[in-house]
Amino acid sequence: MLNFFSNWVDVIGVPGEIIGYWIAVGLTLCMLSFLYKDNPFFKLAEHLYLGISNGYWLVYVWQAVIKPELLGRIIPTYIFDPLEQTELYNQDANYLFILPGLLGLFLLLRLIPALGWLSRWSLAFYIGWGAGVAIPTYMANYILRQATATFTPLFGMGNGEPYSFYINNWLIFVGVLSALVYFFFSVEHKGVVGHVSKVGIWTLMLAFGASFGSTVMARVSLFIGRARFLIEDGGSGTLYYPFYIQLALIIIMAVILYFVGRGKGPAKPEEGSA
Amino acid sequence: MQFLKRNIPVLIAFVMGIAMVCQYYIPSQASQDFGSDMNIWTEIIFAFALLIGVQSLIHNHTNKIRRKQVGYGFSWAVIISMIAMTIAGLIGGGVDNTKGMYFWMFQYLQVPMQATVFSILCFYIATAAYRAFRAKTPEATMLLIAAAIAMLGRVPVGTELTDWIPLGTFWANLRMEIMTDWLLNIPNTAGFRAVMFGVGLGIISTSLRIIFGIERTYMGGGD
Amino acid sequence: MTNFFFNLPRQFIYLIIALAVFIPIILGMEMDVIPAPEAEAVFNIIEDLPDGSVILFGQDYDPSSEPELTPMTTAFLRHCFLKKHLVVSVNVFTVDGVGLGQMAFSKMEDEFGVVSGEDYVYLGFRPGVANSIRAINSDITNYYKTDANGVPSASMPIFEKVKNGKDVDFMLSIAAGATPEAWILYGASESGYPMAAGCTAVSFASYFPFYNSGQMKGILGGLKGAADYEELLVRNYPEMKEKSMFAKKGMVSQSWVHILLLVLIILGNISFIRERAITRRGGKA
Repeated sequence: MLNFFSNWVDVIGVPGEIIGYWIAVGLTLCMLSFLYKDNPFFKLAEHLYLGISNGYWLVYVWQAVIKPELLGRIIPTYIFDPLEQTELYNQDANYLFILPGLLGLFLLLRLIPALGWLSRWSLAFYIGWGAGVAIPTYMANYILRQATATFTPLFGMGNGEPYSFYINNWLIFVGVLSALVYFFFSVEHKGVVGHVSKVGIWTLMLAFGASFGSTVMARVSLFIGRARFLIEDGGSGTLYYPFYIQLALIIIMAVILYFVGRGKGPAKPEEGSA
Repeated sequence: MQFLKRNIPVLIAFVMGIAMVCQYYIPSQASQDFGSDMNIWTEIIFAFALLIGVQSLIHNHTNKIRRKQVGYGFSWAVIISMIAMTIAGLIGGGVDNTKGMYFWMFQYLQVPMQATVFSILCFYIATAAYRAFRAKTPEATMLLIAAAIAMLGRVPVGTELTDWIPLGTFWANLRMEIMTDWLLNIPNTAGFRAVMFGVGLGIISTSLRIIFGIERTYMGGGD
Repeated sequence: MTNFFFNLPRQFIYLIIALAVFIPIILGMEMDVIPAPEAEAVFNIIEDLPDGSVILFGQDYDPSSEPELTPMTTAFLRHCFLKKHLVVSVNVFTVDGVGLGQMAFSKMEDEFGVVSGEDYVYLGFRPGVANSIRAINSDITNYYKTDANGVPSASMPIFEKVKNGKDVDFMLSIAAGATPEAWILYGASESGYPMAAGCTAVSFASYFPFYNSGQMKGILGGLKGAADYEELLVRNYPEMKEKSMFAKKGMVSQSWVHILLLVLIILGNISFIRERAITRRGGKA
């Protein structure tokens, strides 16, 4: 039984890989079918995804944190390890770690209304820790380092650097300053302040424009990756799921959708779901 | 009771906050050890927080099944797949066993689904772009031009449009990749740096408010 | 013409976009990419480090950005192992990414014959970003007691050379989220290692202030960053031509879709300007 789960790949052999690829292709197509319209194929894949990823988290949290970091430190001798890495738990018990375990359990008490307030202790611990860690690091890296980089070097033309270097440094300096003026809402944006904040808006628009263009690029890349999976991975090397079989699959899905959606409006199948 | 419910949390946040700020500036071994122990403590607490998320998902879907709400069959898919994944992982080993059923399910179920969900955004951002991206004001026009340059300058077709302009001359500044480079390095840097100052100051002030007990929203409502 | 376009069902536009992506891949088209300076900077650092240097690699992504970042990871790891660098890798972003890290390194084992625990180690994920990064600053094996395969880390040969962040020669975080910033805040600023980011194109633009200030030595942005790295790898190591280089191929589809979108945006604006002109004329009359 253990072998069935732990050595699954060998148990089912090559067909397992082929089945795996076909499941992956099928689920990819189910997800993409949402582009046509919401449908049971998409819903099934969506819910499977929720379940699988939560199961994944549960197992990981147990295996990577609760077992080695918490129980492994408090009761090392009682930890049963199927992989028999006794070396890992060959250490003295450290009872101090009961405290974070307790704080963790307090967090779970949120589920019991009468004792829910105890979870505040754990949250306060975590958030207090985060706040304490954030102050010096943000000060050093977000404020001081960035300020230094903004101010240098603005002067010293003729020192070998081309003029464009200084012009660009000035542009950054003016851009940062004017955008900060724009963010400063305690003063009414009129007169000089109004003009400066206008420059600030332009700077921000250029930045957000560049960012938007880049974001479009990212989304397209994600689809390219899936398209490669559908066409190339199966077609060139392994021939496990040639593209024409996928097209057949899409048509079958489309026909099913047509019959399911008949009477609920137009349901002409289209290849965009590939 | 009020003391336990409201004052103790403020005190814990204060002590932890001050301790971690001090720890950052004290380079001694004891301070380092304290810091690294605290790293593990927070890791353990965080792990329990993840369990709450899973519990809420189970609760939501078992409710749907119990009440036989519309589409409750799909809730079975959530529960069954989660149990299957958990059993596969606990019995046959998790990500540490690349030959196990758990890893197989990750590779052939989770990866394709998660990657595809996000790839759908490609189509939505595309239609959003051409339906909403209008040069209505000078600011919107600047946004549009910057986006167009960024989109062209980072793909081969865009750079090939201007590759007839010889390098090394003044006009080379009009080459698509050089314009993109300038856009990213100068105005973009300035804009995002200003945003960073805002974010940095915001985080520092919020952190101070938490440490000194002014900010208590993390405690939630009630008494 | 433009109105005709806007009255089309959205699925039709989707279909055109899908075709623009599929056709270049089916035809196996390729185009030359011009590596961006910020990507070349990352490549040059790895190239110039003496063989056997210590690279800390944050594999900070999950399947949702896998199509963008896996090609980047593959190209980067190939370069590291060509240079015989020691790679210590973690994931500080999410549990979901650990399987991808495992897959990336097992591919490298097949290609370069590298051995886990000697040439590289993949330590997997632990909850919490800041605490994991800070733990690497002080003592790696005390925090990561096992690698992602569950093998105890303390006895691994690679950790004879790498004890903590101070021993790291260069750090790259290939990230789907904001973890490169966390690596700067909690890692590089404390341990002092030089670092760079490999990111999705979404966060690419926002990292330039760090590049300008020198806190990041370079940036690999999205599929284009990966394509740049592949191009540089092929230029410097001709034997790499034989390997599959997906990002470069993907850039053709990327080009087509971008052109298509720009055309759509221009058409949209023409129709907008025309409508505005008509309304104004109507107003005067």
